[in-house]
Amino acid sequence: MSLDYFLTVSVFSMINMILALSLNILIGYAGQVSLGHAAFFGIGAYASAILTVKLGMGYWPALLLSVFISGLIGLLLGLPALRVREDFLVLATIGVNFVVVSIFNYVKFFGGPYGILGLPRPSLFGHAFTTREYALYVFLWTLVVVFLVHYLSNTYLKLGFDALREDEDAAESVGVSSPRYKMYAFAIAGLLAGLAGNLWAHYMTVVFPDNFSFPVSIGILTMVVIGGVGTLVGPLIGAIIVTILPEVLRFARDYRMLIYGLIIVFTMFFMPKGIVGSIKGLIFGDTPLGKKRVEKVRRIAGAQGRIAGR
Amino acid sequence: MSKRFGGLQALKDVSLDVEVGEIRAIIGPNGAGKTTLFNIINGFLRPDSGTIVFDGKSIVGVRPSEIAKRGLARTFQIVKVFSSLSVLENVLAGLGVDIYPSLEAFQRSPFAKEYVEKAWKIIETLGIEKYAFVAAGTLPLGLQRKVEVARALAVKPKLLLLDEPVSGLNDLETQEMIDVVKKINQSGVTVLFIEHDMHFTVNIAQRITVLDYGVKIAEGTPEEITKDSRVIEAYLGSEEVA
Ligand SMILES: Nc1ncnc2c1ncn2[C@@H]1O[C@H](COP(=O)(O)OP(=O)(O)OP(=O)(O)O)[C@@H](O)[C@H]1O
Ligand SMILES: [Mg+2]
Repeated sequence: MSLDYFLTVSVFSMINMILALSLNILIGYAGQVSLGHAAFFGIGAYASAILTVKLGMGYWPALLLSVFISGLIGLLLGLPALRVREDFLVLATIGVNFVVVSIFNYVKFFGGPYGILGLPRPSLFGHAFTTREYALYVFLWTLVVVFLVHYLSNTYLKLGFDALREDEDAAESVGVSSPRYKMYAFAIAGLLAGLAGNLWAHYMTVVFPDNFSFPVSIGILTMVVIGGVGTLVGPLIGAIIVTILPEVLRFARDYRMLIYGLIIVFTMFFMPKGIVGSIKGLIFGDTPLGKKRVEKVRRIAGAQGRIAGR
Repeated sequence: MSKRFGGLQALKDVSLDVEVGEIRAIIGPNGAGKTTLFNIINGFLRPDSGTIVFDGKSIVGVRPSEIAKRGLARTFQIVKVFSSLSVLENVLAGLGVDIYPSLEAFQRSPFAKEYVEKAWKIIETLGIEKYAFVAAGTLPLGLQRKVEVARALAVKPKLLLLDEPVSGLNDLETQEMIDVVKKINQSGVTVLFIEHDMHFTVNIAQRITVLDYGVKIAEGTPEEITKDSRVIEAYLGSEEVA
């Protein structure tokens, strides 16, 4: 295995981690099922491609702007979620994916089926990133995103998402405005997926509509489901597995959708909480609160009673 | 106020005046419109006509989450605990009522000392410490009803709406709920509840309002209501008076 090959697989894994964390905020945290996540990924990639190649903008301002645009469009595309019921939302998000890819394909401005070529690698102090440096750059962003999501998991924002996911009426009854929290979820997911799109586009230096088609969305969903919906580590592990699997099973590449489908069905049947959820369950039992938090709470409350239900 | 669902007049010119500090019961046969009344008060439904004044301000057309923030909390006839969250988190979720709409939601942790302490006090009030770390959805109905009351208390309500708080509970659990509601009321919370259980109702309600087919047919003290002939005809005729 050459170093370049290793770097490429690593970069893809890390970008997929960001995508999986992003989708997990929608599905695992806020309970907003989205089957069109590749659309947000594509919007980030295309926004940056157009800004740098067609408008001649430098990489760094294009990074900021493309991520911002993705967040904004994420928010707009999330608007149907405020109106439609859950099962319709699934259809609506698939629809969004197809529409976005069609726009890339058929609207001339977006380059059509031949995509947009010649994206620049970022440069610092006049020095353009080599592939190795770029891999490091992606690694740094992945760290930032992991820390950010970890941080948010510990806030009232997350508890608002939890409430929304568990029961919308009950959430409203404790002060969680469901439109506001749905929009938060879509905006944050859009920002992160847009970042992933930017990182991917400037690694590949070309973007094509097919890179963001529906099967890609299913791939992202697979990462979240097999790793463990709603956990932090699960999507990271899921991302690595889904990235590496087609590399290991080269013959199976043409059957990508079939394999994703089988993985999802098997996971749902045998490990509904995903790999990470299941392992946690085996070690700690079925407690909704982590061990550390329970200990912290007991310290604060000075409670001596044993934990029931363990 | 009035409310119509298609051809069904769920509430017709119902007027209700709940005084600060009282415990008021709403009773009436199945389908009388009691839950609909609650859903209108807390903002889930918009009345076709009429006004609702809470704490001196109209709350018609105000979002339920905003109404909660103004100090109105409720429980649900069909329990709606946050199933996969621990009991503690259910209560912490209620304590966030002022935080959710502001950017503080991005900063504050529900597991900060101040929130955990408050939540624990509420959990103790309900006597459910033993279950604090258990997923609320796995608990029996009686405990889930207590979790809902705890979560509602965390909202720091001025007015607490309880939709059939003892339905499905055994005698012991009912007695515990009576004690809890009395305690809550003594701490200064106005309570408006719906209940079919007459033992519970007569025990704690200071006044009772009776709905039948969306119309208010009587209102008064428990003694007056149990003697009222229209009430007996419409409602109590089919139920045992405890
Ligand atoms: N969202 C709705 N859409 C249409 N009809 C409704 C809706 N909500 C309630 N209803 C109808 O309005 C009537 C009053 O219902 P409501 O739930 O208020 O009764 P209730 O007094 O709470 O009865 P119960 O004691 O059985 O809980 C019923 O006939 C019910 O079917
Ligand atoms: Mg009812």
